[in-house]
Amino acid sequence: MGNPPVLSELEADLLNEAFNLGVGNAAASLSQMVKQEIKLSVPELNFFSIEELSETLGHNQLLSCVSQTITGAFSAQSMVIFPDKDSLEIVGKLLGENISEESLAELQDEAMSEIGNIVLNACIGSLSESFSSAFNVDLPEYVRSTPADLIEKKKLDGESLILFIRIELTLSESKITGYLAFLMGVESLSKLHNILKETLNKLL
Amino acid sequence: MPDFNPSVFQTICSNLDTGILALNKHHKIIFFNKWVADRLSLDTENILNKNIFDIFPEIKNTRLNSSINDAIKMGLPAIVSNIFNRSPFPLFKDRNSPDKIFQNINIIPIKQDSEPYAIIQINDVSASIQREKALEEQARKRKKIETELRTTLEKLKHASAIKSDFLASMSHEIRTPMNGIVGLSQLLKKTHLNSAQEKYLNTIDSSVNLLLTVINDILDFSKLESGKLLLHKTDFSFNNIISQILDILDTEIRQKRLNVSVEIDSELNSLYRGDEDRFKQILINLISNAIKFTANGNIAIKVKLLNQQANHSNIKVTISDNGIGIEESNIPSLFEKFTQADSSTTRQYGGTGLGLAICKNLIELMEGKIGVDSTPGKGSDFWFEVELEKAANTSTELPDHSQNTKISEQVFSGSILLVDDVVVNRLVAKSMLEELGFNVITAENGQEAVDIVCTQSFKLILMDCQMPVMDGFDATRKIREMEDQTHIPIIALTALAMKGDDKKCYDAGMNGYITKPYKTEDLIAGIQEWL
Amino acid sequence: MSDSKTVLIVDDSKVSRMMIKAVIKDLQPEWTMLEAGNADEALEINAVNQINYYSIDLNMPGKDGLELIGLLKENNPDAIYALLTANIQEHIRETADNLGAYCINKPITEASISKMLEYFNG
Repeated sequence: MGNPPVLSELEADLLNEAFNLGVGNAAASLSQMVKQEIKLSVPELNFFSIEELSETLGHNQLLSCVSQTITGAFSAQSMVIFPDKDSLEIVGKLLGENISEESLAELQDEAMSEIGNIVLNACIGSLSESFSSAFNVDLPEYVRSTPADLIEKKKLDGESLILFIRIELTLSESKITGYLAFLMGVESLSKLHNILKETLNKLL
Repeated sequence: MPDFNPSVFQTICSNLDTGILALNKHHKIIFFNKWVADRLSLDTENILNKNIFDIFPEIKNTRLNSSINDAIKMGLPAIVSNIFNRSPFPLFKDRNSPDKIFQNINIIPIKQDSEPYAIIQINDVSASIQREKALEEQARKRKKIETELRTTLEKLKHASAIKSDFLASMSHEIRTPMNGIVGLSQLLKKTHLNSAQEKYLNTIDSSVNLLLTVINDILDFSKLESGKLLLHKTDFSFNNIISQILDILDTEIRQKRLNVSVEIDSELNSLYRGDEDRFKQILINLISNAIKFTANGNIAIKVKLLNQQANHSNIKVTISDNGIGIEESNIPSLFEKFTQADSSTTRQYGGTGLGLAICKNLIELMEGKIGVDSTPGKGSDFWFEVELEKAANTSTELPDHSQNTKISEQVFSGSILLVDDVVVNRLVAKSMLEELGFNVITAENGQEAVDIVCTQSFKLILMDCQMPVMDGFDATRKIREMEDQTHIPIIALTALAMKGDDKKCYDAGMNGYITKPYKTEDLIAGIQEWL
Repeated sequence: MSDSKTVLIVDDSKVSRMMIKAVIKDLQPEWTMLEAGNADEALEINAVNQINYYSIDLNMPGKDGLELIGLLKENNPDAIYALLTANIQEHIRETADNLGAYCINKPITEASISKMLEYFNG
């Protein structure tokens, strides 16, 4: 496994704040879209290996994942992950009371793609602004799978490291835990570290 | 693409079944295809090079707006599906239609010569939305039906519960006075009677017995229908049951001068496990039917072993008569309730019409089969097949019921507490017990009983269950609480005869129970093991 | 005479506090700047200092910005309060309005902080 970068206090702070802003923006967008109060917060930020990620999420837990590949100052596969049963709840709450369970299941994939897209775009946009750097971003891809299957299917490189961020979505009194994950190779990680350093230097 | 011809590109774009709009960094529309043009209600000549937000002011401040901004400013692609907003763009089925189309929109940022552009791709998903709506409607209907079914089920359960409660209380109401009649006529029999009185009393007796049979039939049948009849397994022998039955029916058999033969396969002489009383009930029914419908002649009772496996024996019992027989067409309804083969037979032969229906239900409860083969004028063979386990106790010795008759000649002593709120019941039971030699103290309800127990000791307590002030169960519980080491046997006298009633007695702390109405022998049988 | 004002900057991100201070230092060099990383620290500092202006982040662990403003106002009703957030939803704007606090949209840039200073200066 590659070694996770050791960020200084200010570097970690900057990264955290960038995601806070991103996630805050996403909440505002979602809120405007569905006319409900939505809160999104970023309590925790970590670097994990693929194995650690799988363990934290539960090797065989069924997950709803929306992913977008970004390239630029660094490259990563950015992902929004929710446990599948929670994603059904999210979609149900956002769409209101009048939808039957069957319809909800049908809409789940599409709705989650859009929601994931909103969250990822907001975060990537925030990173872009914080680092004054542009990214190339792909259209979102949706997949429903367990970590074990994903790792096999996508043949994820065991050397990769993941910037793993726990996010909390509060929506009409339900608190739902989801995750942001940025899958990066060792090189991208060090690029990320560099750009954090550069940004701090410019600021201070 | 080799030899790319711009006009080929135009043709491709014009024929796409998807809308394409392209915007430059100033949000001006630099391209749109035919698909879009066909679905706009505006004049498309003046759209090119205009700001999209000016042309479509309705999209300002929507997600579409911010997504377009983000695409151009930051290169972020977006999905704007129909889920959260059905028709972001004002697009219609065709130029002149008022029907908006439902849209799925992709916004794709591109760079051309370092300049940012946004491609807006629009798909018409109206058709799939229609389908979804139809499915919604179906789901809604289905839910409605489910709710209705559930309500109906609740109602049925409720009705069934009411029926059971009715049965239970009727059972009690009927059995209590019956107990009085049965008991008192027994007492009368023991007094000095002249021949007229004796004759009348015998008639009362047989009427009472008939009434009891009818009542039991009705209650049994109700219980069977509600699934509330429990089978009690004991060790029994066919030999024994059949002899007992023939004893009981002896008078009728002699009166009609019938020949009754009994053939039991030798292997079946051992003990089997089953509900002895119910088998007796079935056999009495079938055999007395045979007697009833046979003017003179023969009745054959056969018990055959069909096949034997490890512990299970497949047994067939056949009652053959050469009586009036049954029309083929009448056979199917024979085992239904309330029918007799011919209504004239009812008048001639009497009966509730429930007997065979009860037999059928009982046999089916035992997972067996029942049926009849008959030729009118020649006779009938009523049969049933059932699978029985051999009794663990392999000896042919039975718990000796004949002991009972011996005991009635014994003399007892000691004090018995008799608790019952009905005067007649107390009268009857007291007489029976005093005749046997007991000293009897009576109480009218549970509270009195508890008070008396505090001051006196008894060999045994006979406790009615349903009483005012304090019922038999509570009284028993109280008495058990008060006891230290001495454990007085408490036997319930109960008119209750429903599933679970025996458990109630045991749970309260009683040792056994006797069901009303009871005869002296029943009383003795119920209390003897506790003395 | 420019009276020296004191501004209290509350934000759980150290970098954010540094950025805000940098802009304020640039545009209002004579002001005294105090900072706190969360609501409790802010309340402590508030107890022993005379504060004119508050720059308060909405999303903080523990008590959030709106709660803090409520508590500070009890003590210091005449000061001017600004609420910084990337997530301005209707209900947040309403609550801030009711508290008499001004909403400033994050990210923290020279422009957004200038706007806040304009608001402080009346």
